[in-house]
Amino acid sequence: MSPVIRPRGLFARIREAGPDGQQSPARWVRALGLRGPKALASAIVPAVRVEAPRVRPIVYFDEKRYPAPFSVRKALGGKRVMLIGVTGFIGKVWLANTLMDLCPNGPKPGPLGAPILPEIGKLYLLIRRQKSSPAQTRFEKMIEGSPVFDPVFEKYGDRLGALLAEKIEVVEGDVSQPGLGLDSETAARLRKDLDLIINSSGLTDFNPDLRDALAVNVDSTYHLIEFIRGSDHAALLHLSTCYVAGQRDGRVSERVRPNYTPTHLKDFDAEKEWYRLHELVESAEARAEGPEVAEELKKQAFGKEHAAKGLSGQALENQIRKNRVRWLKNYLTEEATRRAKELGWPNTYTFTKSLAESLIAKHGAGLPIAIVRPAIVETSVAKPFRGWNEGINTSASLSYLLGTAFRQLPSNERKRLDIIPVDAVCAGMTLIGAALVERRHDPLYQLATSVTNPCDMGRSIELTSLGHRRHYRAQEGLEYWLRLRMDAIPVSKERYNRMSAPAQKMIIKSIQRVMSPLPMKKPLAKTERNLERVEKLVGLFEPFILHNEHDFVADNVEKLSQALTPEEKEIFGYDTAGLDWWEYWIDIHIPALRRWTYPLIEGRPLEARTPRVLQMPPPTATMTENGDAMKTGTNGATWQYS
Amino acid sequence: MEPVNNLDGARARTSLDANAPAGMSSRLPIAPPPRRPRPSSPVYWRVEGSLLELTTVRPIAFFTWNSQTFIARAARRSLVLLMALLRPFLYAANRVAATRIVHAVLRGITRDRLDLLGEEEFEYKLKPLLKEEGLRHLKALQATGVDVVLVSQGLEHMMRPLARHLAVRWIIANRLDFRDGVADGC
Repeated sequence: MSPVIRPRGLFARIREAGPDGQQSPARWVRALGLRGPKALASAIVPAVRVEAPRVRPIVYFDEKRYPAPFSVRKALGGKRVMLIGVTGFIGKVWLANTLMDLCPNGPKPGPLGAPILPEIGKLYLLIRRQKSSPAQTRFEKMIEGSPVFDPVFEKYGDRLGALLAEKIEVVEGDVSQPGLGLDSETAARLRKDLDLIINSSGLTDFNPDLRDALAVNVDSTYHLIEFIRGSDHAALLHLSTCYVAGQRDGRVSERVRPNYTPTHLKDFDAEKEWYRLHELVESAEARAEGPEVAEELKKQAFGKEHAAKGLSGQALENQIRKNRVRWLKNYLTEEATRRAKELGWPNTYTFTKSLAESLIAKHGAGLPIAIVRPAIVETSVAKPFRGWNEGINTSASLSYLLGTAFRQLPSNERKRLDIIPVDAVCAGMTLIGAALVERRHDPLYQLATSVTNPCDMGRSIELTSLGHRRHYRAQEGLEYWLRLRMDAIPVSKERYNRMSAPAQKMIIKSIQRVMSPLPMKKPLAKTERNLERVEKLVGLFEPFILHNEHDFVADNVEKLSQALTPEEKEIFGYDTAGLDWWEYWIDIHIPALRRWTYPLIEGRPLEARTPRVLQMPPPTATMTENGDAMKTGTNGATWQYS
Repeated sequence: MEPVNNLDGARARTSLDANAPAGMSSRLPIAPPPRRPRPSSPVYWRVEGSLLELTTVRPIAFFTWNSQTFIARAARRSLVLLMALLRPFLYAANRVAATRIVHAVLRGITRDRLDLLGEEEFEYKLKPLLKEEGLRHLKALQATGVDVVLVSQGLEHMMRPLARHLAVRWIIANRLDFRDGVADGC
């Protein structure tokens, strides 16, 4: 690319060796063989990494040709919003960001900064009771302990307790129970008051026990639909996942398809499937108690190398009971996975989430409900702070693996890995929530980057390696020096089988077999176990890295963002096209995983933090609008996962 | 019902603003790409000699030695070796062409990798070699408030971290062309 800055000549090294590097434009024009000073000026580039701007046209169809201006402030002003799943990754970030945007000093900018959502009415948080820990205690512990609330503490200081007491009401309940597990009084009050329910709860384990998956991902959706139906004016924002699309290729549009299966099974009825799965659970539970399984468990208990070996009497019975629980869990996990794969989903998670969507399509028709499908939700870019991540999420274990000596990842280089920062998801949720309140929503929104700002697997793998490289370069020692030179590469499944973990495992096994007659412990048992884990992990992620070339259209949320008033676009706008993946991966995502997630994978504690105490005002009974005191409570049921 | 592409309508409105529906702004839904601002009367500062002694081949060798695959590393190392041998003759013939040929070795390396390796090269190799006297002169010049443009024969992937380090906003450096994020070697 011109101009080419050629090396200095031999004599210039002597002539221009002084400390003053100033040279006149005319001299540069001559030296570079340019036509004039203008050509020289046009060669100047900013000293920052510039990504080519991605410009995508937004196409409106007919009746929505000119959307009316849209104001989030106006829509959410004075509204009462209930968040379900606040203890989860997305729920916590949404709450923290919303708290950061609140201004307790009213609509005028106060000492805490410009008001963003000054008139929001009330936030209700539905939290389950956990054994002896009531919902309120869980909430306070979460606020005190989670780093995601650091900026909130920083912003409000001692006044945070008062703000939370004023703006937030913790409601004990369980969304997997009918009536959301609320007592009748609270339920009646919420049905009357609520404007919006955000359901960010979900069991995101890929292959969980079917009972848990059904309760959290499907039953809860049905209970929420019923709650909305009985509500005065509440709308529902239901969080699902883009990957309900299942095992298929191509563009995934923002259209709800009732009774959908990726295999396009004719006569598939999602509701019947839901009932059938519940029947399966019941029959498995009955079978677990039956004589056949009992006999099998007894045999197992007496078997070699079993924990119950040598037990008798009550101890044996207890052991068999434990084994029965395990048997049932394994059986239901396997059955759910088998059924999911049979119907075209890669795992139970996406299968049950899709069933929930079908239930919404059927039972939620005519109700103000929007399904929101985020793709793979990852580290925050800016809010609540740059580089927040939590738990071992989708890409964490894979990216960790790529930072080890493991080099060859079976993947489709051209497949787009659809990652979206959690703060973009939360911004989208706020927008869509406001649209729901104003009843200008679409039935389905996808929050994804594969169309707006694609990053394919080849690039993702390289960026992950480069992210690790930056860290290793700063360390000392032979191990890091070696790791620095071990870049991960995308390979075909065949090459992976031939040269990577499976082949290495076979070699290790052979060595173990040869050495087995020797009177010593198996020297490579740990390596073999590690390779097995790698194989299992890669197998689990294959649908997301090797198969299914999805392109998730995410136009609806962009249309909402475009409709925002200019001053609100800056604050509430949704933008994923402007993300620079290099910066995101290397400066934000990998360092965040290294800080918040890798210690968990390695079984190390997270970095030590100074404990902080939330000063909440003394508890008072909740007052109803007419001034009567009433108890908020639960029927004692619990919410298992969020 | 036929879909309507509002893009056409929006484009038309720019010239026929009066026809825009009431309440609609005349702003395009697609913002034109921002114009690249440039300093008005900058001072050009040659990096080589004043701040660093930078050779052409050594950074290229560093980039090639850190290619993604072992095969690419071996192949590019061989090419760099060949360049080292041919360089005097190439430069004697045509310095511009010679520079382009050296850069051709980077064909197939991604921009992502070059950006990170450029940072690394600067941070760990070039930074300790910065000349104190030259830095003092540059700081004094910056203190007068003029816009400084660093000019260097190095690749922009290395020059950007240097400029950032020196709080300089503009550079003129050798640049590669990229297609889909991959250097095409030109």
